[in-house]
Amino acid sequence: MVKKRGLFSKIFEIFMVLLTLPVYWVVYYFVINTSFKTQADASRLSLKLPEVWNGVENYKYVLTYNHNMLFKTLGNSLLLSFCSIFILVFVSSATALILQRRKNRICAMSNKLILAGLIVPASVIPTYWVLNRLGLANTMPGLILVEVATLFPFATMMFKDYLMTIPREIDEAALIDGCSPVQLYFHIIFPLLKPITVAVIILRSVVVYNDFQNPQYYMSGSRSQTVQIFIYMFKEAFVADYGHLFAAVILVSLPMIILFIVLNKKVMEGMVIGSVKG
Amino acid sequence: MRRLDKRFYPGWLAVPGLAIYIIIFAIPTFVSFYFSMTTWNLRTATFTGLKNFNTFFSMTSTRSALINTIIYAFSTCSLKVVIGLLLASYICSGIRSGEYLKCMIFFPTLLGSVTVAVAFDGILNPNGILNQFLAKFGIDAVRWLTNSKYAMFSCIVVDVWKGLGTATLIYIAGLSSISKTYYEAAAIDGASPVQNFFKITLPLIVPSINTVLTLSLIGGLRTYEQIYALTGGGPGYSTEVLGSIIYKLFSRGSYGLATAGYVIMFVIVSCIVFPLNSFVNKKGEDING
Amino acid sequence: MKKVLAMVLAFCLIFALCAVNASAEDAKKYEGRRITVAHRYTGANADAVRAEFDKFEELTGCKIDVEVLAADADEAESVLLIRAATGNLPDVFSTNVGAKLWELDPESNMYDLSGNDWLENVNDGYLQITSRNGATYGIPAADSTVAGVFYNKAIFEQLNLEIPKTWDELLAICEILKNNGITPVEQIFGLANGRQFQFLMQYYYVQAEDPEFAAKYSRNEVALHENAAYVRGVEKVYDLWEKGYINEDPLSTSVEVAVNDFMENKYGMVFRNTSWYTAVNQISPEAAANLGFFPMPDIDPDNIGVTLWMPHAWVASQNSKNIDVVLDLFKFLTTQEAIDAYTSVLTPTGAFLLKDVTVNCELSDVIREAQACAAASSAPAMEYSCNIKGSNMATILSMVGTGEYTPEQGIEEIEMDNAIDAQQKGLEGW
Repeated sequence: MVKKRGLFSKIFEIFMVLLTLPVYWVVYYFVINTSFKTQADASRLSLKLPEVWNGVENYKYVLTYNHNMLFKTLGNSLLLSFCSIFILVFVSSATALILQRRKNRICAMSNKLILAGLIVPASVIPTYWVLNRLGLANTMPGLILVEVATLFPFATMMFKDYLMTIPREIDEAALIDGCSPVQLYFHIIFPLLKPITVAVIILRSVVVYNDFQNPQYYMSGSRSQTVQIFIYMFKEAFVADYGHLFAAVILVSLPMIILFIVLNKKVMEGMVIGSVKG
Repeated sequence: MRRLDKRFYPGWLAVPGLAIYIIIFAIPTFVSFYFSMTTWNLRTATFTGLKNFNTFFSMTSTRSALINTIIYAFSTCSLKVVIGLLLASYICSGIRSGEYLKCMIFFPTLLGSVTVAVAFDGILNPNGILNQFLAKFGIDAVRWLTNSKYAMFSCIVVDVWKGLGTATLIYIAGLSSISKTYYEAAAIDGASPVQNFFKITLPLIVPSINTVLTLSLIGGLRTYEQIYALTGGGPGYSTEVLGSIIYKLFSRGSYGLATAGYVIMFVIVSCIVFPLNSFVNKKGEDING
Repeated sequence: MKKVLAMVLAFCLIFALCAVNASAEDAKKYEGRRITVAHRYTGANADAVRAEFDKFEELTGCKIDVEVLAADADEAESVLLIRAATGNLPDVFSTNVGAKLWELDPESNMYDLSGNDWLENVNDGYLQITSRNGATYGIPAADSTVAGVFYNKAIFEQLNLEIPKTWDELLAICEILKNNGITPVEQIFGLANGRQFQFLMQYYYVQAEDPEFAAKYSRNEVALHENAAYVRGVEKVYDLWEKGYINEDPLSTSVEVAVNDFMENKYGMVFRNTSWYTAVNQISPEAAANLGFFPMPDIDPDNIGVTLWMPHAWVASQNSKNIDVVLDLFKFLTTQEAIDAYTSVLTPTGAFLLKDVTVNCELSDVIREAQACAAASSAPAMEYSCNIKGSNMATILSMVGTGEYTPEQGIEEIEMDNAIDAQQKGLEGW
């Protein structure tokens, strides 16, 4: 389909590319540039380069603020993302396998229940009440379980859809060869799920890392706060101190920026596969 | 076959996942209906019937929050549905900068809502760079976030800025699964690009449209953190949404009333999204197939 | 309550000289122990408290982990409330005293400190407001604050303005300022707490009119609009807007913006508490020297007073497994050494309510003025005697302050909003 492109369409393309300058680049430039400014300079909110390069002080301040709170919260965020995604991948793929391969009333009911979970919002305070009953309120394991439960319907549906494309004959062959059901799951099925597993991991890590609502409700001022809560507190404490605020914004976003640069293609693919059901 | 199923796929494999889901998600959702009818301090709950719902609807803040939630959800949703589709069709039309545009549009989706709110606070500030830019054209400073006429509009724009990437990518996936032969046939008939869009692309992209529609509608009805971080619900109640009302009640210790607010949100989301979603499931099982 | 207050106030200006030495044999006795402290301080206040903890760590070898509850006062209280309800309180936490303290159900959540001899170091009045039925639950965590009007001394001198004795005189001053091209009052509505100061400081006059008002209101025996002084409080907020005496965009005005505007002599007055001095002083000590203070006047030139906020209390959790460390920490926090650590980071703006403690740094004139006003006539804020406060108080006040509600509408909205809060708390009479 080779087609000569008209002058108009070339101009329009240039226009679209140039449009990304004010819409995206100016925003990023503004934030990065301001994060190097002193407080007085930053408060003028201009796009000019800093009068005095105060970046080292700003970033050092944010990093050491409240006794390295950023590092602690970053650690918590990464721990939360890692653990909840790890658990999520195993429990949801196992559930998906059973629900996809077996057909009975319980499976059909579970299916409906999980589908509903894609849509209805999570009830917050009763969840806190349940967690407390389990002795998990305000703890990291409690929050991990909440994240797993919130993401569970989504991940299970993705795995289930993908399992439809894996023929049953593979299972049967494996079982005839003397595979136990557990081996079937771990050695045969799970490796076959790799593309969707990667998508779940990437996509849901972004969601958990950026989650604000669950940590805000379930961690109630606890030591295991996450970076999103850190940036919120920091914002409350330094309302118009844009130099420090933007330095914090950049530091908190850094893991996502790195993820995007390193895994660009995978992230975008994962996003698409993962968003389809929802 | 059934007995074989049982041996091949033992039910207990599904138990951990279902257990977590039911205990942490399903049960709280069910009990919230009871707690929404109580005065509750987490230890003891006194049954008060429908009084909480009565109170909830009588509050000035919740009345505007209900309207705002609907406005916010439907505006962000329709903007994402339309702009996303236009951008995706353009990117897929074989332009050279497609990959670049895709990356640009996508990146903000990876940022946290509070971080985005903080950045836009500096841009939409009365002395911020947007107003500095407008001043060059002789336009007086606009109070984007503190004037009740513009505050909701600003929140919607920021959300679209952040969330457009997901919509666009879903469309791109949908578009790339459309067989080229349709367009080739159309080209022989001498169809214009505009005709192509309306006659071929649009009908075949309906499943993706539904997905974007459902996704962004659910998101818009549920979320509050970005608005909360941008305006705190103000000025007055002009950007208060259901989620922020529930959070405020929660943080004043009114747990029963906050749960009633949740039940109302539950009903609204279900009434709007369930019919839509069953439509999606019927129409678009094979988007990525 | 009056007697208690008298004791607290009598203490406010007394700075005794003898310091208590931490005994050397205590050294490193808690090596390897960890305790968790949760508080709601941010910025310089957090650093000051941290300095106290650092000193204690150095002395005893124990480690103190700090959790930040929330930057917003109401949010922080709710966090404590939910953690108390679910038995998740940390070893030590800070909480507001008075009605807020009782809301946390001290009998089942807090450790009774009575019987410890170091409690003698704490001001008796403060001990009384943190004690109930013979049990004592808290010691002061920081210094007290006073709320009133901070004015630009240079501008007042230049225009020959006198300190107003009535609200009408204050409005007259506003008119003069306005005619001279100066914004009379800077309203700082950027964050929720800033929207409430002007209104909350009216409470001195409310209780002067009816000393039992808070108690009666808690039982729903009196409505807010029945107290003329309470109504005037809302009207005053409205007055400033209606007459065009406030800054153009109060909702975007944050503390930082207001400090900058003050340095540029853009406005004459601001309604805040004494922590305003810290905010200005941090950015420019010269500008802070230009701050003056007077109580917000009312209708009677002979009855002028300020509203007072007590320091938050440090409280120990009843379930703490480290109560021995906590008690030693509390003992330390009532000593000169702790206060020295605190004041080395932050200049106090009020009294610490501890005996035998000296503030070893220069207090500014404006803080002395504020303290003198407090000593002359003052009342503790309404929140200490009545815990009813709806979730929208700050929003309603900002709407009155920007003319979206008339004072009548404002009061009506506050009454409705408060009623919901009282009902949800299950208070009697609602």
